[in-house]
Amino acid sequence: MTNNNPSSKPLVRLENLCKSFDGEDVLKNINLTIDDKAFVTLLGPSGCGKTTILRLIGGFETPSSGAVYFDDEFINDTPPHKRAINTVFQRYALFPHLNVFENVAFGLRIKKTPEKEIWEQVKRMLALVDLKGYEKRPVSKLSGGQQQRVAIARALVNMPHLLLLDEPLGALDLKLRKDMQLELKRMQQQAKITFLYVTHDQEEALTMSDVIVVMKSGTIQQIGSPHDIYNEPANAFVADFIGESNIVDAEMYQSFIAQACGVVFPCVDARFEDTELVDMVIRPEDIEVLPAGQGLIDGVVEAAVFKGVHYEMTIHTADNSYWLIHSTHSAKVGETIGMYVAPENIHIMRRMFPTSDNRLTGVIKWIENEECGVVVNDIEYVWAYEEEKFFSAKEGDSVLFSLSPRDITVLAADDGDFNAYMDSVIYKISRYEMIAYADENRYLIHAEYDEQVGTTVGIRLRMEKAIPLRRIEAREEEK
Amino acid sequence: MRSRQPLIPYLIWMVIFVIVPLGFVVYYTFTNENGSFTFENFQYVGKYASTYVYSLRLALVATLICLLMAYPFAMILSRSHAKVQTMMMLLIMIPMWINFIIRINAIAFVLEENGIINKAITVLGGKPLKLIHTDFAVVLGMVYNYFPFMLLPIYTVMAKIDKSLYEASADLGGNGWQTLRRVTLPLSIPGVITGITMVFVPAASTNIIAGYLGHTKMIGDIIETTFKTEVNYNVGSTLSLVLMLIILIAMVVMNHFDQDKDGAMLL
Repeated sequence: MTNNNPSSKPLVRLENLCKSFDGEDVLKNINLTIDDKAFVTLLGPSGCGKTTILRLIGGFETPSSGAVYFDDEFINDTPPHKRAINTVFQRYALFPHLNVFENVAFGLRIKKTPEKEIWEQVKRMLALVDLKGYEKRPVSKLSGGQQQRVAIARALVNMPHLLLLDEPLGALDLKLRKDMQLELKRMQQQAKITFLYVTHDQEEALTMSDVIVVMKSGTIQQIGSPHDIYNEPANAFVADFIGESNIVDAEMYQSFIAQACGVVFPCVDARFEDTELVDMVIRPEDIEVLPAGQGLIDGVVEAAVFKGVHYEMTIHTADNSYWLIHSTHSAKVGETIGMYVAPENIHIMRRMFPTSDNRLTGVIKWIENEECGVVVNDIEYVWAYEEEKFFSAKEGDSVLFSLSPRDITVLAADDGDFNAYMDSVIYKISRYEMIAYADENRYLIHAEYDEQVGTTVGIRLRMEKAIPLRRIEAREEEK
Repeated sequence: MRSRQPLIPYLIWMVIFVIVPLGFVVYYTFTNENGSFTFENFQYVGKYASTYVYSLRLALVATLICLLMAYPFAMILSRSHAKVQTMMMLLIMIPMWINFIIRINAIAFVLEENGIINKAITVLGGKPLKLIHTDFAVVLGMVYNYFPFMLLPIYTVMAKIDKSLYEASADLGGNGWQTLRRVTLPLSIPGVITGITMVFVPAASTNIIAGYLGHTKMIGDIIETTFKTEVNYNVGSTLSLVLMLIILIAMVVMNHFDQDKDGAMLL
């Protein structure tokens, strides 16, 4: 793990941590080490389990399995009030019956600190968070930003070894949020306390963190410095979630050569041994604008917007994909340009779905009057039966089908053939690529529109479009 | 002042049903049978002083018992599963749908010399207890009847307390007891004050419970006989006005404990 901070003593260690609520797995086998005095951010879309990790470390939840270590001490069953950890809650949870001073003094009073010391510490803390002179104010009379700072002061005054922050800037407006980001970083460095910060805002994470932990569906996708995460995303999900990018389906039949959109892209990655299917990720600022014919691929400028420092352009290429470019050079709408990407700026990663189509096994239930009934996932579909097309399969035989990602329709939950959990939604230059789970099966879906990730959707398989690939021998099936 | 017009119906209501009757009470208090001004009626207050003290004492005991039972109950209830909360609330409300007199009679029936309890004792070979027509029976009747009025306001206030405040307290090192004392208790004071008011006021002025279960008259019974049997509106009014003032002073003193004045809704 890369860490900008000099200290690298581990403070928190999560080992094979799992948590489920009502049978639903929220965290799946989390292993994570948080170094002392580091600013670590858990980043991910809502429902990815980041807040659950925070609550497990804070002691507000108990792990279903696995272990939480704090300072090398096993703390799974230690109640929150016995942990040297403090939390800044999502909606602050300030005590409405106490004024600013008493809110900050709460932890010290519990510890029976002498009155004089309480007075000094609270004063010092309020000065640190820029709230001098607010001691007597009721917390209900404070603005969102002020409440947030009281919440931080209330936690920090106890000198915790670890401060947990659960999306503390979520309720603030953009301007205040930017100020507070720098402010928090300053406080963390000044107080020399480990911060574990939870957010879904990638910019916030990049600004403040020493280490970012990117999460999705209860699993860690990547751990690294902001620099690493941005420049070397581990997979298309991370690339899509952090910053803007062009994510392209590509194939690699040999090392250092990726093929996409009918064009060859020289790159610096070796090919994977087990697959030629890869995702190619190119950041919009890494595409150079050249005259038509002089780049790797030509395209027509569809839109160009001035963004202050750069122009944001959308380029439409012959294979009907749309590329995003950030460039200081502008091009006119309608103009044809050439695009060039240096090999070191092309990032090659494993695809999240192992094949480019869906492979489904169906059992032939009956053959009658040149029709047959095939059961796929407990649902019966009727085909016109041609012996040749079905590889002479008889009743009771299994057949492997290929179903194009285009031939799966996403509907509202309970409206499809079955329900599935939308695990990943990524935009790939010409369309959305979605991956949905139903039981043990994963489905690859391509569509022009996107769906909300982390939700339950209805799935309809248009099996009439599926292509029989081969008959599955009974022996093979038993395996 | 846009809000003034919708207030008019309520003002009319207040005048007809509160201000005017109160005016009558005050008028009768300071007049004799002939309608001339006098302070004479107040000598009866001295005569019934011990009854006042007795009534207020029983009401206070009943209120305290209600509070001690209702507070932990409300606390557990407000943290239970939503279904449990609805079910328990229903169970508490159902007896309230039965007529007040019938409920009091039911208690009398249980406590009688040869009521259920004493029969059970006799069967087991014990000596029957003197249960009915005691202070104990009166307090029991009050607690039984007024308990929901203590529970509901406390429960309502507790259910509204943000659960993350308990987590915040634990996070800052507070154990169960410290959280109760520093967070739950101060935040539930408005409910406690409302509950005390709703139990103490009717308990202090009740005129039925003592009649069925007590051994001596309470101030409510005295006021009733003065009006109905003796048909002396002047003395009756004086006695009830003084009771009102005593309760009012008690409430003002108690509201002093509620810093936010949220619980002052009944005054």
